[in-house]
Amino acid sequence: MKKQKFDSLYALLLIVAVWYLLYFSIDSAIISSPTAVIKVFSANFSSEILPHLLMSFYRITAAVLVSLIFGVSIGLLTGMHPKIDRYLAPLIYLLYPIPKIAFLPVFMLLFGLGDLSKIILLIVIVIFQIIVTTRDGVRSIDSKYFASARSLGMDRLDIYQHLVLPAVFPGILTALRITIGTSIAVLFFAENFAVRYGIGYYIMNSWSMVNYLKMYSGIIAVSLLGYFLFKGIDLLEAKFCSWQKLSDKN
Amino acid sequence: MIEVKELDFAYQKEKVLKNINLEVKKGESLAVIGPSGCGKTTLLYLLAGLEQADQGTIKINSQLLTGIRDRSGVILQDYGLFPWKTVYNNLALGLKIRGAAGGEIKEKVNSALKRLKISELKDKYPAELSGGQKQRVAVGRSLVLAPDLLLMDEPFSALDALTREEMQNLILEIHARENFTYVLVTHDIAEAAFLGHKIAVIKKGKIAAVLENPHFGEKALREKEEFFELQKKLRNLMSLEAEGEDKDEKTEI
Repeated sequence: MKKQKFDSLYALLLIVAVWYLLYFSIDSAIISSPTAVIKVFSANFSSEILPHLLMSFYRITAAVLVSLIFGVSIGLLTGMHPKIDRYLAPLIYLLYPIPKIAFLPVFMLLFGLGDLSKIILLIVIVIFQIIVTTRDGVRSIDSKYFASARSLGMDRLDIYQHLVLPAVFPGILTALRITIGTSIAVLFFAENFAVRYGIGYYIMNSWSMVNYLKMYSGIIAVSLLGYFLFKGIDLLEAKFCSWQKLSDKN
Repeated sequence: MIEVKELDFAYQKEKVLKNINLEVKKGESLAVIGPSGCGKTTLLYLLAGLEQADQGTIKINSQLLTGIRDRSGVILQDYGLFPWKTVYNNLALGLKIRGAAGGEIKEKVNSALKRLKISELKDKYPAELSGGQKQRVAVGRSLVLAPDLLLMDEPFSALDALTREEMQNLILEIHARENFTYVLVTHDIAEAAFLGHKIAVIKKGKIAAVLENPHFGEKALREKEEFFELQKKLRNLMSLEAEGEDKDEKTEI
Protein backbone atom coordinates (compact mmCIF):
# COMPACT_ATOMS: atom_id res chain seq x y z
CA MET A 1 0.00 0.00 0.00
CA LYS A 2 2.80 2.38 1.01
CA LYS A 3 4.54 1.62 -2.22
CA GLN A 4 1.42 2.42 -4.24
CA LYS A 5 1.04 5.78 -2.52
CA PHE A 6 4.64 6.51 -3.44
CA ASP A 7 3.90 5.55 -7.06
CA SER A 8 1.11 8.15 -7.30
CA LEU A 9 3.25 10.78 -5.59
CA TYR A 10 6.08 10.17 -8.04
CA ALA A 11 3.71 10.64 -11.00
CA LEU A 12 2.39 13.88 -9.50
CA LEU A 13 5.90 15.25 -8.90
CA LEU A 14 7.01 14.36 -12.41
CA ILE A 15 4.01 16.10 -14.00
CA VAL A 16 4.48 19.23 -11.86
CA ALA A 17 8.21 19.26 -12.69
CA VAL A 18 7.55 19.12 -16.45
CA TRP A 19 4.90 21.80 -16.06
CA TYR A 20 7.39 24.09 -14.26
CA LEU A 21 9.94 23.43 -16.97
CA LEU A 22 7.44 24.51 -19.64
CA TYR A 23 6.36 27.49 -17.55
CA PHE A 24 9.91 28.79 -17.21
CA SER A 25 10.98 28.02 -20.78
CA ILE A 26 7.90 29.37 -22.58
CA ASP A 27 7.35 33.00 -21.85
CA SER A 28 3.63 33.25 -22.46
CA ALA A 29 0.49 33.69 -20.35
CA ILE A 30 -0.97 30.53 -21.92
CA ILE A 31 1.27 28.40 -19.65
CA SER A 32 0.25 29.45 -16.15
CA SER A 33 2.43 28.96 -13.11
CA PRO A 34 1.63 25.67 -11.34
CA THR A 35 1.64 27.35 -7.91
CA ALA A 36 -0.80 30.04 -9.04
CA VAL A 37 -3.09 27.37 -10.58
CA ILE A 38 -3.00 25.22 -7.46
CA LYS A 39 -3.89 28.29 -5.37
CA VAL A 40 -6.87 29.09 -7.63
CA PHE A 41 -7.84 25.41 -7.69
CA SER A 42 -7.96 25.07 -3.92
CA ALA A 43 -9.68 28.43 -3.43
CA ASN A 44 -12.44 27.59 -5.94
CA PHE A 45 -12.70 23.84 -5.57
CA SER A 46 -15.72 23.43 -3.33
CA SER A 47 -17.56 26.58 -4.37
CA GLU A 48 -17.07 26.50 -8.14
CA ILE A 49 -15.35 23.41 -9.50
CA LEU A 50 -17.03 20.68 -7.47
CA PRO A 51 -20.60 21.22 -8.79
CA HIS A 52 -19.26 21.06 -12.37
CA LEU A 53 -17.20 17.99 -11.57
CA LEU A 54 -20.10 16.18 -9.91
CA MET A 55 -22.29 16.84 -12.94
CA SER A 56 -19.69 15.29 -15.26
CA PHE A 57 -19.20 12.40 -12.81
CA TYR A 58 -22.96 11.77 -12.85
CA ARG A 59 -23.08 11.75 -16.68
CA ILE A 60 -20.15 9.34 -16.95
CA THR A 61 -21.37 6.92 -14.26
CA ALA A 62 -24.91 6.88 -15.65
CA ALA A 63 -23.59 6.15 -19.15
CA VAL A 64 -21.12 3.50 -17.94
CA LEU A 65 -23.74 1.72 -15.82
CA VAL A 66 -26.29 1.57 -18.64
CA SER A 67 -23.56 0.45 -21.09
CA LEU A 68 -22.45 -2.25 -18.65
CA ILE A 69 -25.96 -3.63 -18.16
CA PHE A 70 -26.81 -3.77 -21.87
CA GLY A 71 -23.27 -4.33 -23.19
CA VAL A 72 -22.53 -7.28 -20.90
CA SER A 73 -25.96 -8.83 -21.60
CA ILE A 74 -25.54 -8.57 -25.37
CA GLY A 75 -21.92 -9.77 -25.10
CA LEU A 76 -22.92 -12.83 -23.06
CA LEU A 77 -25.76 -13.68 -25.46
CA THR A 78 -23.60 -13.41 -28.57
CA GLY A 79 -20.72 -15.25 -26.87
CA MET A 80 -22.87 -18.15 -25.70
CA HIS A 81 -25.07 -18.45 -28.80
CA PRO A 82 -23.17 -18.45 -32.11
CA LYS A 83 -26.50 -18.24 -33.95
CA ILE A 84 -27.35 -14.87 -32.37
CA ASP A 85 -23.77 -13.74 -32.97
CA ARG A 86 -24.13 -14.54 -36.66
CA TYR A 87 -26.87 -11.92 -36.96
CA LEU A 88 -25.56 -9.38 -34.46
CA ALA A 89 -21.84 -9.42 -35.30
CA PRO A 90 -22.18 -7.74 -38.74
CA LEU A 91 -24.39 -5.07 -37.17
CA ILE A 92 -21.82 -4.43 -34.44
CA TYR A 93 -18.91 -4.37 -36.90
CA LEU A 94 -20.72 -1.83 -39.11
CA LEU A 95 -21.76 0.47 -36.27
CA TYR A 96 -18.62 0.26 -34.07
CA PRO A 97 -16.31 2.39 -36.31
CA ILE A 98 -18.88 5.15 -36.98
CA PRO A 99 -17.74 8.49 -35.47
CA LYS A 100 -20.63 8.67 -33.01
CA ILE A 101 -19.59 12.11 -31.83
CA ALA A 102 -20.87 13.50 -35.15
CA PHE A 103 -24.35 12.43 -34.12
CA LEU A 104 -24.47 14.77 -31.11
CA PRO A 105 -26.71 17.28 -32.97
CA VAL A 106 -29.05 14.42 -33.93
CA PHE A 107 -29.18 13.19 -30.32
CA MET A 108 -29.81 16.74 -29.11
CA LEU A 109 -32.75 17.06 -31.51
CA LEU A 110 -34.16 13.67 -30.54
CA PHE A 111 -33.48 13.60 -26.80
CA GLY A 112 -33.40 17.26 -25.90
CA LEU A 113 -30.61 19.67 -25.03
CA GLY A 114 -30.21 18.39 -21.47
CA ASP A 115 -28.34 15.46 -19.88
CA LEU A 116 -30.04 12.68 -21.80
CA SER A 117 -28.49 13.48 -25.18
CA LYS A 118 -24.98 13.63 -23.64
CA ILE A 119 -25.45 10.39 -21.74
CA ILE A 120 -26.76 8.64 -24.84
CA LEU A 121 -23.78 9.86 -26.86
CA LEU A 122 -21.46 8.36 -24.21
CA ILE A 123 -23.43 5.09 -24.17
CA VAL A 124 -23.21 4.56 -27.94
CA ILE A 125 -19.46 5.10 -27.73
CA VAL A 126 -18.76 2.95 -24.67
CA ILE A 127 -21.15 0.05 -25.25
CA PHE A 128 -19.44 -1.46 -28.32
CA GLN A 129 -16.15 -1.95 -26.50
CA ILE A 130 -17.98 -3.74 -23.70
CA ILE A 131 -20.02 -5.96 -26.04
CA VAL A 132 -16.98 -7.07 -28.02
CA THR A 133 -14.79 -7.67 -24.94
CA THR A 134 -17.51 -9.68 -23.18
CA ARG A 135 -18.28 -11.77 -26.25
CA ASP A 136 -14.62 -12.59 -26.90
CA GLY A 137 -14.15 -13.32 -23.19
CA VAL A 138 -16.97 -15.88 -23.26
CA ARG A 139 -15.55 -17.49 -26.40
CA SER A 140 -12.13 -17.92 -24.85
CA ILE A 141 -13.40 -19.88 -21.83
CA ASP A 142 -11.84 -23.36 -21.95
CA SER A 143 -14.51 -25.98 -22.75
CA LYS A 144 -13.27 -28.12 -19.85
CA TYR A 145 -14.95 -25.67 -17.45
CA PHE A 146 -18.30 -26.17 -19.17
CA ALA A 147 -17.94 -29.97 -18.87
CA SER A 148 -16.99 -29.51 -15.22
CA ALA A 149 -20.01 -27.26 -14.62
CA ARG A 150 -22.41 -29.65 -16.28
CA SER A 151 -20.97 -32.62 -14.39
CA LEU A 152 -21.79 -30.78 -11.16
CA GLY A 153 -25.39 -30.52 -12.33
CA MET A 154 -25.40 -26.79 -13.10
CA ASP A 155 -28.28 -25.43 -15.15
CA ARG A 156 -28.02 -22.53 -17.58
CA LEU A 157 -28.47 -19.85 -14.94
CA ASP A 158 -25.88 -21.47 -12.63
CA ILE A 159 -23.43 -21.59 -15.53
CA TYR A 160 -23.85 -17.84 -16.12
CA GLN A 161 -23.49 -17.05 -12.43
CA HIS A 162 -20.64 -19.35 -11.42
CA LEU A 163 -18.72 -19.82 -14.65
CA VAL A 164 -19.28 -17.29 -17.42
CA LEU A 165 -19.58 -14.03 -15.47
CA PRO A 166 -16.58 -14.59 -13.17
CA ALA A 167 -14.52 -15.70 -16.16
CA VAL A 168 -15.23 -12.58 -18.23
CA PHE A 169 -15.18 -10.07 -15.36
CA PRO A 170 -11.44 -9.21 -15.58
CA GLY A 171 -11.87 -8.51 -19.30
CA ILE A 172 -14.85 -6.25 -18.60
CA LEU A 173 -12.75 -4.23 -16.14
CA THR A 174 -10.05 -3.78 -18.79
CA ALA A 175 -12.69 -2.61 -21.26
CA LEU A 176 -13.97 -0.18 -18.63
CA ARG A 177 -10.50 1.29 -18.13
CA ILE A 178 -10.17 1.93 -21.84
CA THR A 179 -13.67 3.33 -22.25
CA ILE A 180 -13.43 5.64 -19.25
CA GLY A 181 -10.53 7.49 -20.90
CA THR A 182 -12.59 7.82 -24.08
CA SER A 183 -15.74 8.86 -22.18
CA ILE A 184 -14.00 11.73 -20.42
CA ALA A 185 -12.61 13.04 -23.69
CA VAL A 186 -15.99 12.76 -25.44
CA LEU A 187 -17.84 14.29 -22.50
CA PHE A 188 -15.48 17.27 -22.55
CA PHE A 189 -16.57 17.88 -26.13
CA ALA A 190 -20.29 17.25 -25.51
CA GLU A 191 -20.36 19.55 -22.51
CA ASN A 192 -19.64 22.50 -24.74
CA PHE A 193 -23.14 22.44 -26.16
CA ALA A 194 -26.20 23.77 -24.38
CA VAL A 195 -25.10 23.06 -20.81
CA ARG A 196 -24.45 25.30 -17.84
CA TYR A 197 -22.83 22.63 -15.70
CA GLY A 198 -20.08 20.13 -16.40
CA ILE A 199 -16.31 20.24 -16.18
CA GLY A 200 -15.99 20.51 -19.97
CA TYR A 201 -18.15 23.62 -19.90
CA TYR A 202 -16.10 25.05 -17.00
CA ILE A 203 -12.81 24.60 -18.84
CA MET A 204 -13.99 26.00 -22.16
CA ASN A 205 -15.86 28.84 -20.50
CA SER A 206 -12.73 29.86 -18.56
CA TRP A 207 -10.73 29.63 -21.78
CA SER A 208 -13.10 31.90 -23.71
CA MET A 209 -12.94 34.39 -20.85
CA VAL A 210 -9.13 34.21 -21.03
CA ASN A 211 -8.96 33.03 -17.41
CA TYR A 212 -6.13 30.55 -17.80
CA LEU A 213 -5.76 29.93 -14.08
CA LYS A 214 -9.35 28.66 -13.89
CA MET A 215 -8.95 26.75 -17.15
CA TYR A 216 -5.96 24.85 -15.72
CA SER A 217 -7.85 24.31 -12.45
CA GLY A 218 -10.59 22.62 -14.49
CA ILE A 219 -8.00 20.47 -16.27
CA ILE A 220 -6.60 19.36 -12.91
CA ALA A 221 -10.14 18.47 -11.84
CA VAL A 222 -10.62 16.29 -14.96
CA SER A 223 -7.34 14.56 -14.25
CA LEU A 224 -8.43 13.86 -10.66
CA LEU A 225 -11.83 12.59 -11.87
CA GLY A 226 -10.09 10.10 -14.13
CA TYR A 227 -7.65 9.14 -11.38
CA PHE A 228 -10.39 8.27 -8.91
CA LEU A 229 -12.43 6.37 -11.51
CA PHE A 230 -9.36 4.29 -12.41
CA LYS A 231 -8.63 3.70 -8.72
CA GLY A 232 -12.23 2.54 -8.27
CA ILE A 233 -11.74 -0.05 -11.02
CA ASP A 234 -8.44 -1.12 -9.41
CA LEU A 235 -10.32 -1.71 -6.15
CA LEU A 236 -12.96 -3.83 -7.89
CA GLU A 237 -10.19 -5.82 -9.53
CA ALA A 238 -8.36 -6.39 -6.23
CA LYS A 239 -11.59 -7.54 -4.61
CA PHE A 240 -12.99 -9.82 -7.31
CA CYS A 241 -10.11 -10.78 -9.59
CA SER A 242 -7.21 -11.56 -7.26
CA TRP A 243 -7.35 -15.15 -8.57
CA GLN A 244 -6.31 -13.91 -11.99
CA LYS A 245 -2.90 -12.61 -10.96
CA LEU A 246 -2.20 -15.97 -9.32
CA SER A 247 -3.22 -17.83 -12.48
CA ASP A 248 -1.01 -15.60 -14.60
CA LYS A 249 1.99 -16.43 -12.43
CA ASN A 250 1.58 -20.17 -13.02
CA MET B 1 -25.45 -50.69 -10.13
CA ILE B 2 -24.27 -50.07 -13.70
CA GLU B 3 -25.59 -51.99 -16.69
CA VAL B 4 -24.37 -51.04 -20.13
CA LYS B 5 -25.94 -52.82 -23.07
CA GLU B 6 -24.98 -52.72 -26.74
CA LEU B 7 -23.75 -49.16 -26.53
CA ASP B 8 -22.69 -47.35 -29.71
CA PHE B 9 -21.39 -43.82 -30.00
CA ALA B 10 -20.14 -41.92 -33.02
CA TYR B 11 -18.50 -38.54 -33.16
CA GLN B 12 -19.05 -36.80 -36.50
CA LYS B 13 -19.69 -40.08 -38.29
CA GLU B 14 -16.59 -41.70 -36.81
CA LYS B 15 -17.53 -44.63 -34.61
CA VAL B 16 -15.87 -44.13 -31.24
CA LEU B 17 -17.53 -46.91 -29.26
CA LYS B 18 -18.92 -50.12 -30.70
CA ASN B 19 -21.22 -52.57 -28.95
CA ILE B 20 -20.07 -51.98 -25.39
CA ASN B 21 -21.52 -54.32 -22.76
CA LEU B 22 -20.56 -53.93 -19.11
CA GLU B 23 -21.85 -54.64 -15.67
CA VAL B 24 -20.59 -53.25 -12.37
CA LYS B 25 -22.13 -54.32 -9.06
CA LYS B 26 -22.90 -51.94 -6.23
CA GLY B 27 -19.79 -51.09 -4.21
CA GLU B 28 -17.51 -52.54 -6.87
CA SER B 29 -14.98 -50.70 -8.94
CA LEU B 30 -14.15 -50.87 -12.60
CA ALA B 31 -10.91 -49.69 -14.15
CA VAL B 32 -11.06 -49.00 -17.88
CA ILE B 33 -7.68 -49.13 -19.58
CA GLY B 34 -6.59 -48.59 -23.15
CA PRO B 35 -4.28 -46.50 -25.32
CA SER B 36 -5.18 -42.85 -25.96
CA GLY B 37 -7.91 -42.38 -28.52
CA CYS B 38 -9.49 -45.79 -27.80
CA GLY B 39 -12.76 -44.26 -26.62
CA LYS B 40 -12.38 -44.74 -22.88
CA THR B 41 -12.98 -41.08 -21.98
CA THR B 42 -16.08 -41.08 -24.20
CA LEU B 43 -17.36 -44.10 -22.26
CA LEU B 44 -16.92 -42.17 -19.01
CA TYR B 45 -18.71 -39.10 -20.43
CA LEU B 46 -21.60 -41.37 -21.46
CA LEU B 47 -21.76 -42.89 -17.96
CA ALA B 48 -21.76 -39.36 -16.52
CA GLY B 49 -24.62 -38.32 -18.78
CA LEU B 50 -22.44 -35.61 -20.38
CA GLU B 51 -22.91 -37.30 -23.77
CA GLN B 52 -25.85 -39.28 -25.14
CA ALA B 53 -25.40 -42.68 -26.80
CA ASP B 54 -26.50 -43.22 -30.39
CA GLN B 55 -27.66 -46.72 -29.62
CA GLY B 56 -27.90 -49.04 -26.63
CA THR B 57 -28.74 -48.31 -23.01
CA ILE B 58 -27.07 -47.38 -19.75
CA LYS B 59 -28.92 -48.24 -16.57
CA ILE B 60 -27.77 -47.01 -13.18
CA ASN B 61 -29.55 -48.50 -10.18
CA SER B 62 -31.94 -50.11 -12.70
CA GLN B 63 -32.94 -46.70 -14.00
CA LEU B 64 -32.33 -45.66 -17.57
CA LEU B 65 -29.73 -42.88 -17.71
CA THR B 66 -31.04 -39.89 -19.66
CA GLY B 67 -28.90 -37.04 -18.36
CA ILE B 68 -26.71 -35.95 -15.48
CA ARG B 69 -27.47 -37.78 -12.21
CA ASP B 70 -27.58 -35.93 -8.92
CA ARG B 71 -25.68 -38.69 -7.10
CA SER B 72 -22.92 -39.28 -9.65
CA GLY B 73 -19.65 -37.55 -8.81
CA VAL B 74 -17.38 -36.79 -11.76
CA ILE B 75 -13.66 -36.04 -11.64
CA LEU B 76 -12.43 -34.87 -15.02
CA GLN B 77 -8.94 -34.81 -16.50
CA ASP B 78 -7.02 -31.75 -15.26
CA TYR B 79 -9.42 -31.40 -12.31
CA GLY B 80 -11.99 -28.91 -13.70
CA LEU B 81 -11.68 -26.64 -10.65
CA PHE B 82 -12.87 -23.06 -11.15
CA PRO B 83 -9.83 -20.76 -10.86
CA TRP B 84 -11.95 -17.84 -9.55
CA LYS B 85 -13.25 -19.78 -6.57
CA THR B 86 -11.32 -20.63 -3.43
CA VAL B 87 -10.88 -24.25 -2.38
CA TYR B 88 -13.79 -23.85 0.05
CA ASN B 89 -16.09 -22.36 -2.59
CA ASN B 90 -15.12 -24.98 -5.17
CA LEU B 91 -16.20 -27.67 -2.69
CA ALA B 92 -19.36 -25.79 -1.71
CA LEU B 93 -20.50 -25.19 -5.31
CA GLY B 94 -22.26 -28.52 -5.94
CA LEU B 95 -24.19 -28.24 -2.67
CA LYS B 96 -25.04 -24.60 -3.33
CA ILE B 97 -26.61 -25.28 -6.72
CA ARG B 98 -28.58 -28.16 -5.19
CA GLY B 99 -30.10 -25.61 -2.84
CA ALA B 100 -28.52 -26.87 0.40
CA ALA B 101 -28.84 -24.63 3.45
CA GLY B 102 -25.88 -22.50 4.56
CA GLY B 103 -25.27 -24.49 7.76
CA GLU B 104 -25.37 -27.82 5.95
CA ILE B 105 -22.93 -26.59 3.31
CA LYS B 106 -20.50 -25.40 5.96
CA GLU B 107 -20.64 -28.63 7.89
CA LYS B 108 -20.26 -30.91 4.87
CA VAL B 109 -17.49 -28.87 3.25
CA ASN B 110 -15.49 -28.56 6.45
CA SER B 111 -15.81 -32.27 7.15
CA ALA B 112 -14.66 -33.14 3.60
CA LEU B 113 -11.73 -30.71 3.92
CA LYS B 114 -10.73 -32.41 7.16
CA ARG B 115 -11.04 -35.93 5.77
CA LEU B 116 -8.86 -35.01 2.80
CA LYS B 117 -6.39 -33.15 5.07
CA ILE B 118 -6.70 -29.89 3.14
CA SER B 119 -8.42 -27.70 5.77
CA GLU B 120 -5.51 -25.26 5.81
CA LEU B 121 -5.91 -24.69 2.05
CA LYS B 122 -9.53 -23.63 2.17
CA ASP B 123 -8.95 -19.94 1.42
CA LYS B 124 -6.45 -20.57 -1.36
CA TYR B 125 -7.18 -20.41 -5.08
CA PRO B 126 -6.46 -23.42 -7.34
CA ALA B 127 -3.50 -21.58 -8.92
CA GLU B 128 -1.76 -21.61 -5.53
CA LEU B 129 -1.96 -25.40 -5.15
CA SER B 130 0.33 -28.25 -6.21
CA GLY B 131 -0.99 -30.97 -8.54
CA GLY B 132 -1.64 -33.36 -5.65
CA GLN B 133 -3.46 -30.70 -3.65
CA LYS B 134 -5.62 -29.78 -6.65
CA GLN B 135 -6.46 -33.45 -7.04
CA ARG B 136 -7.54 -33.66 -3.41
CA VAL B 137 -9.80 -30.65 -3.93
CA ALA B 138 -11.31 -32.28 -7.04
CA VAL B 139 -11.96 -35.48 -5.05
CA GLY B 140 -13.45 -33.37 -2.25
CA ARG B 141 -15.73 -31.53 -4.66
CA SER B 142 -17.29 -34.85 -5.63
CA LEU B 143 -17.30 -36.34 -2.14
CA VAL B 144 -19.31 -33.54 -0.50
CA LEU B 145 -22.21 -34.57 -2.74
CA ALA B 146 -22.18 -38.04 -1.10
CA PRO B 147 -22.16 -39.82 -4.46
CA ASP B 148 -23.20 -43.45 -4.85
CA LEU B 149 -21.19 -43.52 -8.08
CA LEU B 150 -17.86 -41.83 -8.68
CA LEU B 151 -16.57 -41.46 -12.25
CA MET B 152 -12.92 -40.53 -12.76
CA ASP B 153 -11.21 -39.66 -16.05
CA GLU B 154 -7.44 -40.20 -15.76
CA PRO B 155 -7.50 -38.32 -12.47
CA PHE B 156 -3.88 -38.88 -11.50
CA SER B 157 -2.09 -38.79 -14.85
CA ALA B 158 -0.52 -35.36 -14.24
CA LEU B 159 0.93 -36.30 -10.84
CA ASP B 160 4.42 -37.53 -9.98
CA ALA B 161 4.75 -41.24 -9.13
CA LEU B 162 4.74 -40.88 -5.33
CA THR B 163 1.82 -38.43 -5.19
CA ARG B 164 -0.06 -40.65 -7.60
CA GLU B 165 0.34 -43.66 -5.27
CA GLU B 166 -0.71 -41.52 -2.33
CA MET B 167 -3.89 -40.46 -4.17
CA GLN B 168 -4.60 -44.06 -5.21
CA ASN B 169 -4.36 -45.09 -1.54
CA LEU B 170 -6.68 -42.23 -0.63
CA ILE B 171 -9.31 -43.41 -3.14
CA LEU B 172 -9.16 -46.94 -1.73
CA GLU B 173 -9.40 -45.62 1.81
CA ILE B 174 -12.47 -43.47 1.06
CA HIS B 175 -14.02 -46.25 -0.98
CA ALA B 176 -13.64 -48.72 1.92
CA ARG B 177 -15.32 -46.24 4.26
CA GLU B 178 -18.11 -44.90 2.08
CA ASN B 179 -18.72 -47.90 -0.12
CA PHE B 180 -19.65 -46.14 -3.35
CA THR B 181 -19.23 -47.69 -6.78
CA TYR B 182 -16.57 -46.18 -8.98
CA VAL B 183 -15.32 -46.25 -12.55
CA LEU B 184 -11.79 -45.12 -13.29
CA VAL B 185 -10.43 -44.48 -16.75
CA THR B 186 -6.64 -44.71 -17.01
CA HIS B 187 -3.77 -45.52 -19.34
CA ASP B 188 -1.56 -46.60 -16.45
CA ILE B 189 -1.35 -50.40 -16.08
CA ALA B 190 -0.31 -50.35 -12.40
CA GLU B 191 -3.13 -47.94 -11.56
CA ALA B 192 -5.72 -50.16 -13.22
CA ALA B 193 -4.37 -53.21 -11.39
CA PHE B 194 -4.42 -51.38 -8.07
CA LEU B 195 -7.79 -49.64 -8.29
CA GLY B 196 -10.07 -51.99 -10.23
CA HIS B 197 -12.14 -54.93 -8.92
CA LYS B 198 -12.62 -55.49 -12.60
CA ILE B 199 -10.41 -54.21 -15.37
CA ALA B 200 -11.81 -53.64 -18.84
CA VAL B 201 -9.31 -53.37 -21.69
CA ILE B 202 -10.60 -51.27 -24.57
CA LYS B 203 -9.23 -51.49 -28.07
CA LYS B 204 -10.41 -49.27 -30.90
CA GLY B 205 -13.76 -48.63 -29.31
CA LYS B 206 -14.44 -52.26 -28.40
CA ILE B 207 -13.98 -54.13 -25.14
CA ALA B 208 -11.11 -56.54 -25.82
CA ALA B 209 -11.16 -58.24 -22.39
CA VAL B 210 -12.51 -57.90 -18.86
CA LEU B 211 -10.24 -59.23 -16.12
CA GLU B 212 -11.24 -59.97 -12.54
CA ASN B 213 -8.90 -58.75 -9.81
CA PRO B 214 -9.45 -61.04 -6.81
CA HIS B 215 -6.70 -59.32 -4.79
CA PHE B 216 -8.25 -55.86 -5.00
CA GLY B 217 -7.88 -53.84 -1.82
CA GLU B 218 -5.43 -56.21 -0.10
CA LYS B 219 -2.87 -54.65 2.18
CA ALA B 220 0.52 -53.92 0.65
CA LEU B 221 -0.80 -55.14 -2.70
CA ARG B 222 1.86 -53.21 -4.54
CA GLU B 223 4.57 -55.51 -3.14
CA LYS B 224 2.77 -58.76 -3.87
CA GLU B 225 3.57 -61.23 -6.60
CA GLU B 226 -0.09 -61.34 -7.73
CA PHE B 227 -0.05 -57.61 -8.42
CA PHE B 228 2.87 -58.02 -10.82
CA GLU B 229 1.24 -61.06 -12.41
CA LEU B 230 -1.89 -59.07 -13.13
CA GLN B 231 0.13 -56.23 -14.58
CA LYS B 232 2.00 -58.68 -16.78
CA LYS B 233 -1.31 -60.05 -18.02
CA LEU B 234 -2.59 -56.57 -18.74
CA ARG B 235 0.63 -55.59 -20.45
CA ASN B 236 0.41 -58.66 -22.64
CA LEU B 237 -3.15 -57.84 -23.58
CA MET B 238 -2.21 -54.26 -24.32
CA SER B 239 0.91 -55.10 -26.32
CA LEU B 240 -0.98 -57.74 -28.26
CA GLU B 241 -3.30 -54.93 -29.13
CA ALA B 242 -0.43 -52.70 -30.10
CA GLU B 243 0.93 -55.39 -32.42
CA GLY B 244 -2.56 -55.89 -33.73
CA GLU B 245 -2.83 -52.20 -34.42
CA ASP B 246 0.52 -52.21 -36.21
CA LYS B 247 -0.65 -55.05 -38.40
CA ASP B 248 -3.86 -53.25 -39.18
CA GLU B 249 -1.95 -50.17 -40.12
CA LYS B 250 0.40 -52.18 -42.34
CA THR B 251 -2.46 -53.81 -44.17
CA GLU B 252 -4.04 -50.40 -44.64
CA ILE B 253 -0.83 -49.16 -46.26
